[in-house]
Amino acid sequence: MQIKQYKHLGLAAVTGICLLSLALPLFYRNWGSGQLSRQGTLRPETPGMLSDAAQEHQLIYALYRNRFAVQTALELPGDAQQIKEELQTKTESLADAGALPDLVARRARWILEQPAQETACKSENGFAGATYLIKQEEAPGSCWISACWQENTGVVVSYSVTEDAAVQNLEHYLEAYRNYLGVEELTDWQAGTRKREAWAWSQAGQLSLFCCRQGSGFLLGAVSQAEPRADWLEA
Amino acid sequence: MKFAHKLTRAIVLPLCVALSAGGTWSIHRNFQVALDTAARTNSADQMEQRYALENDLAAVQGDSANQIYTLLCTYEQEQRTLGRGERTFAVFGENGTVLYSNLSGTILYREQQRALAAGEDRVLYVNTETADYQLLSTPLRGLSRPLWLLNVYDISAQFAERDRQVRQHLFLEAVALLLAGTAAVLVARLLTRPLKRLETVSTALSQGETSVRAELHSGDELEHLGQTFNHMADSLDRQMQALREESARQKRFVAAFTHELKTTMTAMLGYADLLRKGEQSPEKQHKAAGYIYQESGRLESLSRELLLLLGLEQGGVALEPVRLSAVWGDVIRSLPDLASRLVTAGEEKTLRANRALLVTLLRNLVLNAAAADTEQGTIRLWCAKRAGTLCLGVSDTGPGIPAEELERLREPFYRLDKSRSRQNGGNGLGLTICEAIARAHGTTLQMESEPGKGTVVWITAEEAEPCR
Repeated sequence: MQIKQYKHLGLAAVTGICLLSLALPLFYRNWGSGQLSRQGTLRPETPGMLSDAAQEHQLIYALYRNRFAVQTALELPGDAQQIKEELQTKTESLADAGALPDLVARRARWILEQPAQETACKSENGFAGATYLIKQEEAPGSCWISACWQENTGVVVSYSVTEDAAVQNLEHYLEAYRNYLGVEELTDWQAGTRKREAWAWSQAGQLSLFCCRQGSGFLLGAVSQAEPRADWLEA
Repeated sequence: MKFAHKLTRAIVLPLCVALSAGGTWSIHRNFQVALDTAARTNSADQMEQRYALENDLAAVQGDSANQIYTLLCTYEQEQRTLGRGERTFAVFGENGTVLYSNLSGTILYREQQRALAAGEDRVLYVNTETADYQLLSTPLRGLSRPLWLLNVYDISAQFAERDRQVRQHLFLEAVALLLAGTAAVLVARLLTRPLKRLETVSTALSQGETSVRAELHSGDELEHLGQTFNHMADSLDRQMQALREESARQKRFVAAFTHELKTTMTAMLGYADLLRKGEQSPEKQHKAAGYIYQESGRLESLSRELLLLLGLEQGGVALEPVRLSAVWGDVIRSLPDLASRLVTAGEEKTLRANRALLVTLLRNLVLNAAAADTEQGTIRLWCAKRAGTLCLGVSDTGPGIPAEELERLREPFYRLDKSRSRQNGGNGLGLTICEAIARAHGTTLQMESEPGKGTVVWITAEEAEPCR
C-alpha cells in the first residue's frame, strides 16, 4: 500500500516536472539575460585582426593601422633643400644597411646632387613622404627619388629611384631590407622570387616586403597586407 | 490508473520535455549567433575607430586631458560631417578617468568601469528599461599615455528577436501539445480496445460462459494474444467437458457396482437365511451353501479384477518383446475346457507388449466369445496385417452383437444378457479391463459384429525385433 502511494507520488512529481519544463524558454529568457549582464561573453575572433604580438611591434602596427586609415593628404611642393637632405639621409641609411645595390645608391646620390626640377612632400597618419625630381638634359624624360618613412622612427617603408642598371640578386637586398626594418623576429616568412622581383610575406605580421625593378626604376617597400599578392603565389 | 492514461502520459510527457528542451536550445543558439554576429560587426567598427583615433592622437602635440578632449570633439565633429554620427563611445585615461564621453546617462559609470576591467577579450551587456546594449572596450596603442576606448552599441533588435522567438515557441508548443495529446488519447484508446475485449471475455469465462471468444483483428501481438486466449478457452472447455464425462462415467460405475453388489448380496442373504433356519433338506442346504460359495468366489474375483483395473488406470505398464506363439500358448493352457474349440491363425511374430496383460486380454475375449456362442463353434485366435498395421484378435461364430450395443459393451458391468452372463461367472468387467489393457499398449479395442455371423474383436500391435 505504501509502495503504491510512493509510486503515485513519484508519477505526480514526474508529471509536474515535465509540465513545468514547458516554461523552460521563459526561464532561459530571464536567466540568460541576467547571465549576460553579469558575465558577458568572450569577444568573437574578428577575421583579419593582427595578432597581439605583432601589435606590440611599432612599425608593423603602424603599417597595419595605416591600412584602414583614410588617405586624404596630397603631396604638395616643399622646401627642396630640406627634402634633398631628408632623402640623402634615407638613401645613406638604406645603403649602409646593404638594402641598396651600389649602382642604385650611386645613381641616387647623383640625382640628389642635381638641381631639383620639382619636389613634393606630405605627412599623414604618422608617415611622411617626399619626392625629388630632376630633368635630364641628355635624355628625354625625368629622374626621381621618392621615399616614405615613419615620422617618429625615420624607418623607410617605401623607396624608389630611377635606375636603368640590371640589378641582380634581388633577394639579397630584400633580406638586408628586412633586417633594416627590424622585422626579422617574425618567424613565419614566406618568400619567393620572380624575374625582376623578390618578395616576402608574414602572416603573423600581415606584412609584405618587396624589392623589384619596374620599368626604369628600382623599388623597395613594406606594405601591410592580409594575404600575399596573387601574382607572387602564381609565380 | 488506467493503461490508456499511462500510455497518453508516456507519449505527452516526454514530448513536453523534448519540445521545451529542443526549443530552448534552438532559441539559445539563434540568440548566440545573433550576439556573435553583432559583436563581430561592432568589433570591426570599433577597430576602425580605434585606428583612426590612434593616428589622430599620435599626431597631436602634447597629451593633456584638454588637448585630448579637444581632439576627440574635433574627431566627432568630422564623423558627423562624414555622416558617421551614430557612434557612442568614451575614452578613459589612467584610473578610469573619463577624458571624453558621448554616452547617454542610461549606461552607468559603474557599468563602464566594469567593461574596462573585463578587458578587450570580453563583451559586456547592459539591459535597461528602454534598450539593450553591447559594451566593447579596447586599449589605444602607440600613445605616450595609456588610454582606453569604450564603445556602446544598441542591440535591442537582437534581444527583441529572441523574445519574439520565445513567444512564438510557447505558442507552437501549446498547439503541438494539444494536437499530440489528442492523438495520444485516440491512439491509447485504439490500442487498449483489444485489451478491453479480452477483459470482457475473461470476465464471461470466469462466470462459466465457456463459449465466448475474443474476436481480435488488430493484426499485431494483441491479435496473437487473443488467439492464444481463445486456445486456452478451447482447452478449458475440452477439459471441463472431459471432467463432466468422467464424472458421469464414475457415477455410472458406482451405480453399476452398487447394483452388482446388491444383487449378489441379496441372493447370498436369502440362501444364508435359509441355512440359518436349519429345516431344509440336505439337498437344499447343499445347494444354498454352494450358491453362497460360488457368489463369494465371484465377489473375490470381482475385487481382483477391480484391483487390476485400478492398476491399469494408474499406468506404468512395462512393454517388452514377446513372441506371439508364447502368448497364444499361455491363453490355451489357461483355458483347458475350451482348448478343443480354439484355433490359431497367422505367422509367428514378435510383439512389443506386456505378456501377462496381453494373455489376460485375449483370455477375456475368448471367454466372452465362448459365452456368446452357445453352439460350441470354433474360436479363432488370429494375427494379420490390415492396411499395413499388425492386428491381433479373437473371432467367433456366435450370434453377434447389435450395432447399438457395441459401444456400451466397454462400460463396466454392462452385459448383453444379464442373467445368463452372471450365471456363467461373468462380472461385467471383462471388456472394460480389455479396453484398459489396450490403452496401456497405446491402442484401443476394435469390434466388428454382424448379427447371426459372429463377432471379431481386435487390437493393433507394435512389432518388435525377434527375441534371441
